[in-house]
Amino acid sequence: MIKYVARRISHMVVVLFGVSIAVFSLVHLVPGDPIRVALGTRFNEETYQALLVSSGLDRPLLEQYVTYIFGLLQGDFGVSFRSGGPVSEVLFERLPATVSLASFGIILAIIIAIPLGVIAALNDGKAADGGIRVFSQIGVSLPDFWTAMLFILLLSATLQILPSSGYVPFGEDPVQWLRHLIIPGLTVGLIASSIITRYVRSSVLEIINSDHVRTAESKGLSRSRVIRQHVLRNALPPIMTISGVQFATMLGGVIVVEVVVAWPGLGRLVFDAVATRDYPVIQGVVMLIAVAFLVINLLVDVLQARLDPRVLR
Amino acid sequence: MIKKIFSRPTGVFSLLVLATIFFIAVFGQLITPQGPNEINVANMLQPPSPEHFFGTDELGRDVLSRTILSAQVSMQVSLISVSFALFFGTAAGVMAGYFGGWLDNLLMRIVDVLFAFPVLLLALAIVAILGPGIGTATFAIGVVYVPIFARVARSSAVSVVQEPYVKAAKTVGASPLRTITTHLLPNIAAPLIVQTSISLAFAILNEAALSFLGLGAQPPTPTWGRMLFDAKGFLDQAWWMAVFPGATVFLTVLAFNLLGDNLRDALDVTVDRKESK
Amino acid sequence: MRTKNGNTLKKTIGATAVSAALLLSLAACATDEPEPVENGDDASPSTSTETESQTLIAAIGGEPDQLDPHITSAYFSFQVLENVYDTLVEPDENLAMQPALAESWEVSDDLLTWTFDLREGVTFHDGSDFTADDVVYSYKRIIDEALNPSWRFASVTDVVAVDDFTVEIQLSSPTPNLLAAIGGYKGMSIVSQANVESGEIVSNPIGTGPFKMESYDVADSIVLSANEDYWGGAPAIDELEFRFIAEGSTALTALRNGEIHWTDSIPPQSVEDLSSESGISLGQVGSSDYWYLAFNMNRTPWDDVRVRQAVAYALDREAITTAALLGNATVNQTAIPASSDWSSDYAPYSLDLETAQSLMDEAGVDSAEMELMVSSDYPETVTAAQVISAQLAEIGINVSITTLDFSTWLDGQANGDFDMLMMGWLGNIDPDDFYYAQHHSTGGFNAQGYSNPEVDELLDSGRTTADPEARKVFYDDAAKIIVDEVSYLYLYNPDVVQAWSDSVQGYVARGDQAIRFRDASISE
Repeated sequence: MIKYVARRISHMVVVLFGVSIAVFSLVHLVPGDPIRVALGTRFNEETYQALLVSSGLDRPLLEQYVTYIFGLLQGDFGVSFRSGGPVSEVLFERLPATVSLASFGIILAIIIAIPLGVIAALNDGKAADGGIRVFSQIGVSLPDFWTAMLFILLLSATLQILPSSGYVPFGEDPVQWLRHLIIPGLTVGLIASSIITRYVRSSVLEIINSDHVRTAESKGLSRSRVIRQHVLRNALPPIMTISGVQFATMLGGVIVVEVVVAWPGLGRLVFDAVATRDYPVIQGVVMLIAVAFLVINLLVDVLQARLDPRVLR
Repeated sequence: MIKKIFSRPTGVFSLLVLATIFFIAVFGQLITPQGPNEINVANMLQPPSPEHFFGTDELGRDVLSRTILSAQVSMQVSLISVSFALFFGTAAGVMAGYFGGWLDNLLMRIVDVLFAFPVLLLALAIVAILGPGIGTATFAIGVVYVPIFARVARSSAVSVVQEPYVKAAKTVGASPLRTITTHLLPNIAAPLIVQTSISLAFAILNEAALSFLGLGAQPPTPTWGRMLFDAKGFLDQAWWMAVFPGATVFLTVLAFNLLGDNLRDALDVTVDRKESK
Repeated sequence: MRTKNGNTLKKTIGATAVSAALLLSLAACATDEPEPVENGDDASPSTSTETESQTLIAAIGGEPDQLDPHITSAYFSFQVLENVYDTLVEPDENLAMQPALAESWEVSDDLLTWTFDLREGVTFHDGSDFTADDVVYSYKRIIDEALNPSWRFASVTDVVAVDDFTVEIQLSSPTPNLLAAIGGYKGMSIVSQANVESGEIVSNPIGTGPFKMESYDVADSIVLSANEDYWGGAPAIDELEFRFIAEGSTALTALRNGEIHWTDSIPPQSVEDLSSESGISLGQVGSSDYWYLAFNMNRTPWDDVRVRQAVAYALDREAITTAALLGNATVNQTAIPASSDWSSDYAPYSLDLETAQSLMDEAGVDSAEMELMVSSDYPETVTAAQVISAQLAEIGINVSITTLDFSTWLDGQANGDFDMLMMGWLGNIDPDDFYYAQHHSTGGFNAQGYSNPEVDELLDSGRTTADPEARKVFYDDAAKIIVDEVSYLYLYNPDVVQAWSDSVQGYVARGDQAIRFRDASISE
């Protein structure tokens, strides 16, 4: 087990190193000059040169990369071109909004997915199953930004019961925090729920058909008790796995939804950073997302390995 | 297989929708009620009516005509990009699975790196580097889906390579290319077919998202994503600008997903969680 | 503006350049130094009797990138900084320069030395006194570190503190627009050295202005509180909160629901509804911004003046303006809006496809491919481009539109990767701002590659001539040539559109888009 985790972590380090090279190359390949953007429309050549030197962009690329990597190893993400503040601070400021959204989304998704998935599995092949399977296909087929727009159209523009965009920190006003969270949360939660529903259905189905559940049933235990005791417990690890992956995806991947509802999370941050060519921030967000993605994947895999040693190949 | 798909309502639905979308993608120009780029500023933001079934947009253009013509761009982008991903991803995955060793390690680490990137961000970066347009959007989406096919192909290839007949072919000294084409590919086709259908769905969503962010086809060329971007500023005044193009994207994507689902059952394929992203 | 400044340049402008009404109010605060504090006390009963303090909430369209006025170039930053900082002089509603931190000023006979008498008794928000050293520090910081606004100091050779409250600016050549340069916007603010050196200025700026920084909620809002010691009298409101709301429709809903008091993120299509809505005041004034098309004159056939003129005759400016801003703009064939004393009424073009076609024929161009470069960060350019594309098809020009984000667009402009581009110049005050950098053959932003020695000479003369009458003639003549030769094809001056709740009193929408809340109050 320890050997397995050690191997996975060493892989992770290699992958992160690769990600750092990839994102560094990408930001420097993208046309658009961060200095020109920072200066706006009117400036003179001296100003341009001064900023070029102070941002370090005048140095050779390799030197810039080495500086960046050594900084990273010491936990230094660099300084944002745009705000002039440390990137780690900028990232930290955006975390609450992103974590709020991802947590709300994943909890909602699990609440919807577990009953639906179990019902579908228990009614395998019947109408209820068919309906739920179509529901799960609908969820993954919805363009997330369009869904957000429809919710805004319905809940905000027409019914006027929810704000259409923006974010209020929990600490400031929990009620407003929740009100602002509902539209983006429903959007990401709905999509995640349909993906998770499918996994709940298939893992429950697999366990229902397994030998020890049949044995338990043949011993005369009531069906609901069997479901509670055996099926859900055994089906939980794969469900946690997919939920973990969905959570990781939401932490980093809801750029367009965040843009539509003006959500001040990491997705919105990286979108703005791309627009202003704020290299240190783009690199910081991508590295953070990659770490989150890899760590969550590792955690769920370790969890799975503990329950099913066959994974340790 | 086709028969099995036709035996289910969702299968019939998906094939019908896709047939319609393909039809309007090919013959769009002939059936649009009005030129998609005909500007009539005096007639802007008109709600749906007998003259304009889907209403008009902020430049007085017919939303129905633009929705129809968008199909062409979206289909083109998704078909070409997924073919690209299918070809290169399968090639990489099969090589990794067949040869194993350092090549497998190298290819799979590259795939891991690409996976750790948010899909849209990677596509966004590629389009930004190459300049916005249909061609680059297609390429970007293709690149983004290469790793998925590589993983699907590799995981199937790894198990097929262990089969006695492949081992036998190897020992008698058949060339790798011949072994791969005659023994490997036919035996890993099923999961790739399912993945293709699902990826087509995601490619359409991604093309829409890229256009929505202003990085897809250039105006005035209509695309669903671009139309939704324009609609965003007019949600209060013109719901029809958002609802109709969005619903069309949704139906098309749903059809591809349902087709994939039915194919999966028909071909009896299980797709691993990481591959379905 | 021109006539007002006409014969006063050598005298003390502060006393004569202002209108009678303004003079009274300014005299009040200029002569009775300690009074502002009392004014503040006088004003407070109305608020102190109420238990709750008065907060005016303004929604702006985005978040400031940072708050160092010498470094940022973002309008969202300046919306906030307008209320935090002061400059030596500042524009009034008609964009004429009025005393601010400087009470008066003189120009030497050779026009090369300007002497400013500073206001005494002004303090920074941290309690430290404002003196000539702060002016010298601020200006030298801009010049020595080559910060963003340093181009405005091109002709400045030195800034000297003569005594605690007198500053001298020395010039290499006469600079009639010096006042506009140092007061035109808050990028020329007087900052606190301690604040800069501590590095806090990027998020917690300390100025001398009517409001001071209270708190900053990232991606959400900035709260300022009234500076009771403000030299112009304490503001009537206790707090001023800026909320960042990007989506216009959201801001409007918030305004209608009473969640905010003021906003300037208003979609053009909502302006008409708003103008008749009860409970909401709409401020709509012409701005000094202008939007234009520019050809790449290093490429054929756009190097041919006849082809450029053909395009000018083929475009329907009214339709473009309607599409881009639903008419919330004024079409113009030169850069400077009619409301300015510097404007010219020269307008030779009209929609005339026949003339356009014959100009194309004369140039021997049957058809042409044109790459029109616009920016998705300025959606009106994308909308206008689609209309332009349809209109130019009529004379055989096949337009392909390239939509880029602004960063890439700027690269494209610098590298000349376009046939035609559309963009705007914002925040212009002096005629030199409108024309020099764009059309002088050595101008920093002459991306189109225009070069005409006659225009160069006129613009150079305009730069160094003190007499406004004579200056105006130079700029009128230059504008005529620029329009005739289509160095820029001018489209329109957009309106500044702002809306606020009727409970807000004393706020005025300004053409230069400076948003000042120091005189605003809220009645319940």
